[in-house]
Amino acid sequence: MKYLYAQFQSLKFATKLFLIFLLLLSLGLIYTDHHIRQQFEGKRWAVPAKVYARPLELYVGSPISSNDLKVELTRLGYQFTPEVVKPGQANISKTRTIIYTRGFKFTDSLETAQRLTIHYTGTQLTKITKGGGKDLSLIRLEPVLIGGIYPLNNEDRELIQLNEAPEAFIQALIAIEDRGFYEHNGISLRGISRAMLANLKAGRFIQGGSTLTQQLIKNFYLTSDRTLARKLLEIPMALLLESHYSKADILEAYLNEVYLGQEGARAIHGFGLAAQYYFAQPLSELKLPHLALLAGLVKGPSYYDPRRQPERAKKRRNLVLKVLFEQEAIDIFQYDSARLAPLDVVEQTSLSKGAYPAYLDLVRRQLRQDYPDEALNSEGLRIFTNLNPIAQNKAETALTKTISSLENTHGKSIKGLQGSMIVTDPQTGEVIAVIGGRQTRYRGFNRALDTQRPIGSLVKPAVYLTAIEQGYNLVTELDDSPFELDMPNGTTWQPENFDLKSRDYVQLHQALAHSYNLSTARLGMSLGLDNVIDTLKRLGVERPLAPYPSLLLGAQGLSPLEVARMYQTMASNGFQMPLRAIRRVTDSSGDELSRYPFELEQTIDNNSIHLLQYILQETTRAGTARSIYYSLPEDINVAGKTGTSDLQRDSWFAGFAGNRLAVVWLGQDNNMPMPITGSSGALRAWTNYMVNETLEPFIAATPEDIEYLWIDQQTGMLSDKGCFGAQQLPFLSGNSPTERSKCGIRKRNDALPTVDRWIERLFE
Amino acid sequence: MTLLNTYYWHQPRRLTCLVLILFISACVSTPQSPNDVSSAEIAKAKLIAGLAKQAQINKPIVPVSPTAIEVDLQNDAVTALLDSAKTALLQGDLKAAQTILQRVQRIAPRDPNVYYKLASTHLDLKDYKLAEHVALKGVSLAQGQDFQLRKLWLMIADIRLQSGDIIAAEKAEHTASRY
Repeated sequence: MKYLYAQFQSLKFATKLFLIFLLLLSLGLIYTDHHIRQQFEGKRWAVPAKVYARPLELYVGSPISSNDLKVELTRLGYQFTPEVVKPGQANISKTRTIIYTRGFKFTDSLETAQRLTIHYTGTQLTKITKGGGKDLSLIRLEPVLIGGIYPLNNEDRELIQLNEAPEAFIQALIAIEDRGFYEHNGISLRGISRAMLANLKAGRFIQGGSTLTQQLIKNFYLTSDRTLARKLLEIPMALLLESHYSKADILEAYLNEVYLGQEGARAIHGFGLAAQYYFAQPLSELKLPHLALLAGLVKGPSYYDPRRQPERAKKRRNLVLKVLFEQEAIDIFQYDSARLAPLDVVEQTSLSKGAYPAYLDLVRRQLRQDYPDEALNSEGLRIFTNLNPIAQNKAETALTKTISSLENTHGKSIKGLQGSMIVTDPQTGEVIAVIGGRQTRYRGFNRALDTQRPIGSLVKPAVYLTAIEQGYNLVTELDDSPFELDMPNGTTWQPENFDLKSRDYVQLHQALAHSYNLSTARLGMSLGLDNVIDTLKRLGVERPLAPYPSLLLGAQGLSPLEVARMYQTMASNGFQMPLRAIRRVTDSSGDELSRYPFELEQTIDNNSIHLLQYILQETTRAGTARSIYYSLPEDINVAGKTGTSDLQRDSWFAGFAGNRLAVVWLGQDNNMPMPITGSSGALRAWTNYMVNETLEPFIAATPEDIEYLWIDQQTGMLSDKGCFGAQQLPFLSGNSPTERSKCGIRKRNDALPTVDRWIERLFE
Repeated sequence: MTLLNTYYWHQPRRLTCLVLILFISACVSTPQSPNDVSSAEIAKAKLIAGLAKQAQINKPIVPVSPTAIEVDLQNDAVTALLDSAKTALLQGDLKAAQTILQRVQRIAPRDPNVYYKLASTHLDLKDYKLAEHVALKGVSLAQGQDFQLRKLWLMIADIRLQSGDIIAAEKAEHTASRY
């Protein structure tokens, strides 16, 4: 009895234990089930913000060449094929390009995929026709994806829907990873048995029997550690997931979750991104061999990395193709053609992502004023910027080539020369290119935004603008003789002209065009430092400026971006405008969240800015920047100013045409003196860039109160067009010279015939 | 000869100059050509060349902008976009209209009409300061285009009036009346 009682007690205890175990198991399952559903139905992934370049607008008359179009289409991952039959293909010749666009949903309209023929002559578009021959006035290409803003785990992905994956791809994936996917309930006993057998034979773990569902569970909910506990947990979770969701849901999640490669710290997740990462094309446009390679990569993205291990990758791809052939998913012709095809993986350097680190840096800074980091790296925002990949490409080429050429000329004295550049649209204030250093792909120190180097003579237009506003005209004589100024700290300020010479008097326009220091310093002191600082602020300089006399010659450090803002105001007729890198931000479905519209404020009046614009044009025609016209055609009117800091530590040029404004800085990070000036350094890079751009001339609209008069260059008196040494200059009505030179008087009185004047001047 | 009689004969300095230049011209040795030219013709050619050179010297250093800047109003892309902007405006979608007008601005950044339309959207949004400055930007580009200038100044007057600055509005209206 006692024995039976003991047996009963033991059984009771075991039952209790079992019940407790069952209870715990049930609770565990309920918890796991809740966890699975919550995570699967909620926001599944932290999707980084995607950053896009400006969409290329094509219209009759738009400035574009076949080369420019090729750069854009290459960045967009178009395939250049003899026949253009599907989206993402193009055929380029010198006079026309056939494109099958992919289409894109913009916030304001939908651009559908269409086959277009674009005709151009030289650098101008002449006609756009649609497939059937209908003329179009305007189209927009899809914007180039230029980067993302990633979460802390650096996971990057581009979400796709199941219907975006080609049928052949789904077949390949299932064939190689889980051929019983549509039959099992989350686990495959056959697969597990096969894997166990293989592992027993090998004596170690060589094969897994995981289904796609288990792989998704592992990647999505668990860790990748190969432990028994994880395996045991994986099975019930896979069963639960399958009980709640359809095969299509699970497959779609798998397509977006799976890890497929690594680019530095950035982890490539999902086939949508992998298609871009390896082939620079959307998944839907990939061909059979590409799709087979992607399916094969799941087993080991590093081991089968097609860039580093192409042979291994090809074998893996061909295995996938073989399985497809064996399953009769493809015929012998498709199989043969695909297995003999090259891998076609694009060079990493040709990818747009990471190609514009300095520009993205500017975008991030402007975004962080409005968005928290979490929103940027997890909400899948779409950020549309003003980056122009064609202009950026040209600017990078110009800057790097100029630096190399200068190093070849000057040798060790400028070894390690650095440079940066900002390009904007002078009418809209949109930033279209940014270069942060000579290694244009390097994400390090961004010299375009973070260097604050003395701007030298780039400051002078502010001094002369102050003078013009105070009533000086362009021929007002300025004293250019040497002087000394005792400073409050006991030192003496003794400015010098660059050529170490001085002139008694120079006319105001000549002093700026030739960048004389003595006359500028004297002028600035007489105008008052506070007034010059006020002008600088109205031109767009926001940082506090100390009223030291050396400010007048550019001792103040500014970044190229700040300089660009200052010159933007000069280029846009005195209207100050924020330099904008971003156009708008939308959520992941394309609905607009915020916009960065065109804003401006007139801070300099039309008349004063016109007079200044004249001198900046004179600088490029006859002043310190006249070498521009050794390369640029005469009819492309440009304006600008050279700048060289003390001891030639910095070489600057800021200038603009009608449709481009660019600021170039060259210097050394260790701030050492260099054998180059603004003219012989930065100006060369600027010109090299502008020569390759499709430029429109700068047109300085003449305000009504401005009159153009012929002036004797020597005396600054009124002269006449026919007089020797006469120059046409603008004046504010009522503030022009009143005295006439001898030649001017005679012409006015019509006293002498032309021949006589010529003879007289010859002997005068 | 009349010139000589009138000016040179009575002014010894000028006469000396003329004689001297003719003398120098005559002394210049010229290569023999099948049709030998006279010294007078050479002197004349030189004078013409000299004048031509002088004319070249006096070409404006900086090209002066034309009195009226023409804007390509025939651009089909601009016309199509302006139509879309108008539709958006009629539907009361000012933000969409602004987005479209900014596309136009990128294509035709010197067209004062674009700034007029942009300014009107800002006015409708009661952003008076920005509306006025956008209109002023249009003014700065409408050189020689009286119709555009009148339209823009009337708009500025309207903006100022709506913002409550009656005196400034009257000034703008006065400016508009000049065109």
